[in-house]
Amino acid sequence: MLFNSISFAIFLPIVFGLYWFVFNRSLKLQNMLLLLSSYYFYSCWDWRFLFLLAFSTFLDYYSGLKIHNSQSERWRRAWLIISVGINLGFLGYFKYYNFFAQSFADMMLRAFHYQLNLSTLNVLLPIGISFYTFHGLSYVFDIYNRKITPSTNFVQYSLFVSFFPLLVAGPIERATHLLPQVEKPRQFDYNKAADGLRQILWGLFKKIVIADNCAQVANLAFNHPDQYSGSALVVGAVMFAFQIYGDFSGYSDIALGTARLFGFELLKNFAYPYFSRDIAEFWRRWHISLSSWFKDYLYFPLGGSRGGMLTTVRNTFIIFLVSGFWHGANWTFVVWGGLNALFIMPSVIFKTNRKNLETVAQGRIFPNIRELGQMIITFSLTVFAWIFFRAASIGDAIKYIKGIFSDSILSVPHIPMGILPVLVVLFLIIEWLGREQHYAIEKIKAIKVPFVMRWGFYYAMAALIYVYANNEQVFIYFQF
Amino acid sequence: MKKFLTRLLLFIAVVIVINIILNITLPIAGDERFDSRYQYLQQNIAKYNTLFFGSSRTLRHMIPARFDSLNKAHGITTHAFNLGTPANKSLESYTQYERFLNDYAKTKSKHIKYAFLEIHPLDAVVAKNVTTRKGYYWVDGRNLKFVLSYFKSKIQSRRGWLDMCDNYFFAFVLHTVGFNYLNLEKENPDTELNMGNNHDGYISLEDEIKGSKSEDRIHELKFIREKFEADTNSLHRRAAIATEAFSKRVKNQSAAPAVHLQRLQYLIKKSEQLGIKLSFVVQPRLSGYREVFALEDALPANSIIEIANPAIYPQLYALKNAYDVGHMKYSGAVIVTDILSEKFIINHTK
Repeated sequence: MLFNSISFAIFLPIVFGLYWFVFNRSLKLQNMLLLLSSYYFYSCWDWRFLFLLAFSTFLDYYSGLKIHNSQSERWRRAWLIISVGINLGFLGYFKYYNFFAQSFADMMLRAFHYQLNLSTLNVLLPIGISFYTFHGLSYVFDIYNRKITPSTNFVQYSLFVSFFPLLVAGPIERATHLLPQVEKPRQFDYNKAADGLRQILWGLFKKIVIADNCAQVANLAFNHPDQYSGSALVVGAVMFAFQIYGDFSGYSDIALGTARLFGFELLKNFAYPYFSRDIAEFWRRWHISLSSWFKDYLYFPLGGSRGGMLTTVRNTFIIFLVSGFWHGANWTFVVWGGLNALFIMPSVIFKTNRKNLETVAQGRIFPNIRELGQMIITFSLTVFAWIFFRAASIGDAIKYIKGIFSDSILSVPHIPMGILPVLVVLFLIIEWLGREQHYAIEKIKAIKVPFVMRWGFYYAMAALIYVYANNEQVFIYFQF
Repeated sequence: MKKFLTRLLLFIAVVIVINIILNITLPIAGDERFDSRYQYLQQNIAKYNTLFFGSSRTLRHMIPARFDSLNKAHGITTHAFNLGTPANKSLESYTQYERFLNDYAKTKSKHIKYAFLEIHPLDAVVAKNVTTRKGYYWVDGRNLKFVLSYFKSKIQSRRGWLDMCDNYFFAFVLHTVGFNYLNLEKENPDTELNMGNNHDGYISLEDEIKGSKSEDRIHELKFIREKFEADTNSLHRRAAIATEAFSKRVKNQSAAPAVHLQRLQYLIKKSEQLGIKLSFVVQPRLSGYREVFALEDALPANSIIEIANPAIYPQLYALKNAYDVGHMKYSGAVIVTDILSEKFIINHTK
């Protein structure tokens, strides 16, 4: 069930109605309803993977209790290893087995001219496995590190792992943040619910109007780089940058807005990353819940920046390469991660990576020339890295880049776009004006305009969503 | 909660009211492939005197240039244009033809002498298509009423009736309250190609694959062909259905759904008022013939042209002429057009 589908438009009001009108007197029943709804939501893709989700949930719940209750450090560690091993084992089996088998066979052929016949698996990737595995892992890590005590209520813990707004593509929640909300009674709050609806509307706009339209241009360019000029390929890459941002941050907005309708606050996942002044700032604003997960559970345990420059450089490369690999079983993602590590390295070495912590041009409408230049350079670097992320293989990415840096780079780009440039510019203006808010149109209510104009704005957004909603496009991050 | 629901419902109500008003007052775009050719036809109506309406079977099987030259050899002058549209439901084709009649009634010069309209049973809307413009643009109140009566006369159980009608209900809602007056869809890169090699609206499936600039379209057509090649027996099954239907055919065996019959009778009458001789065409390779036979029995004999009987036209069910289970290659279209012309000439000289 996609967020941008008719079935979700039916599912959501039903669950909302039952939650606030039928089960509103009992927290237990409300949680049970959300859990069952979440399992139903997940089963709409493939009910067979429900067993995997349930098993993974039980494993982490049980391991958490065992880690907490074990007296000896050996047993605590043993239970941690069991939980992490099995979780990563599932992830590796479903997501990476084919990749490793193929890569090993290729290596044998190249190095020893030996044709190795390893059978590859013909299995579907369970949707959301990377996300719910990371939910569970953060929970057992936090218990192991004595940051939290384990939940003793299986329903509550299961809901933390599988709450439907975040189940298939995040944000990757932390037990410290979400579990207390699951455990506490929730009161309906008008402002929160209205805000949730507004965020859902904005998320749908990003996904359906921006991302899906940008996808058409990006697909043309990436599928047939030979047929387009260098300048058209630049446009294609830029459109992919907007596609992936609109797609994933749109999904996150819908997830956060939906959770708000039920009284939950999820972790913020995006903070206007394309208005970043350097790559370090970009990574503090892009897929925040994943970046912070890797920082807390990989970068810091490896020593972070405490062991001297070489250790810091090594650790930075490790988290970026692992982050790239987390996105998919393809060398293109690893290269994408590696490129980002390279881009961030100057600021790591010169210790300027925490320079731009506040929002760009805070309190001003326009950025100054320096800020504008920094944003353009940062955006260009991320677009360059996105080429590897989008391309089917490293060879294709190199071919695409060669196509860009051809004689035709300065020609007028001929690639069919319709009114897309207008929509993208409109989108950027709204995002820029709202960059200090949780999401771009959060404070629209505070703007002193007649309510007719505000409703007119919502009406226009709904119209654009409707017009472009003919084809339900799957969210890119579902594959991860 | 009360405030939240009140405001939400109020906003939805405002959207619905505005959209209903705008949908009524502003023109609604329909099927792009039909609209672009129809627009051309309206601008060049004086050049033509014969029109074909119907589904993709009409589009792929009726070659206007060949039809004209065959008729000319028998002293009948026709200048035909093909408006057949892929994925049309029968009711959608009737609606398109009616739209033409309404527009034509307003024009001063009356050049159109003949119209051919494909008839076939109506089926349900597939859920995944209902939210596309193609799925709902034509499902207005009148057509919804047709659908409800039509399936009521064909299906006994309430559940079965609802299964057939539910997506039409939904299509009607989208037609009525959607933002349909807005048409921001990208221009079709194949608009010129779809006009046909002779600018008469006809294009064969083979030529479309060769000439299309749309990757998706090429992929779709190739996929259809590959699917058919993987199971060519599907054509034999269709042929068997038709053979059995024609061999066991008994006149006035069953009654056609009254609403269907009335609509066709209405179209005949309205066409006559505008000086157009309307013929209904029964195409080969339908998935069933019972209803078409009933319509044939009830309508005036000279208003039906049937080109479907495998016993008489076995070549229409031959694998070599098939692109897929329902459509002909160019070679098959030549045969269909020849038969149509032959029957048209006979009707004309009667």
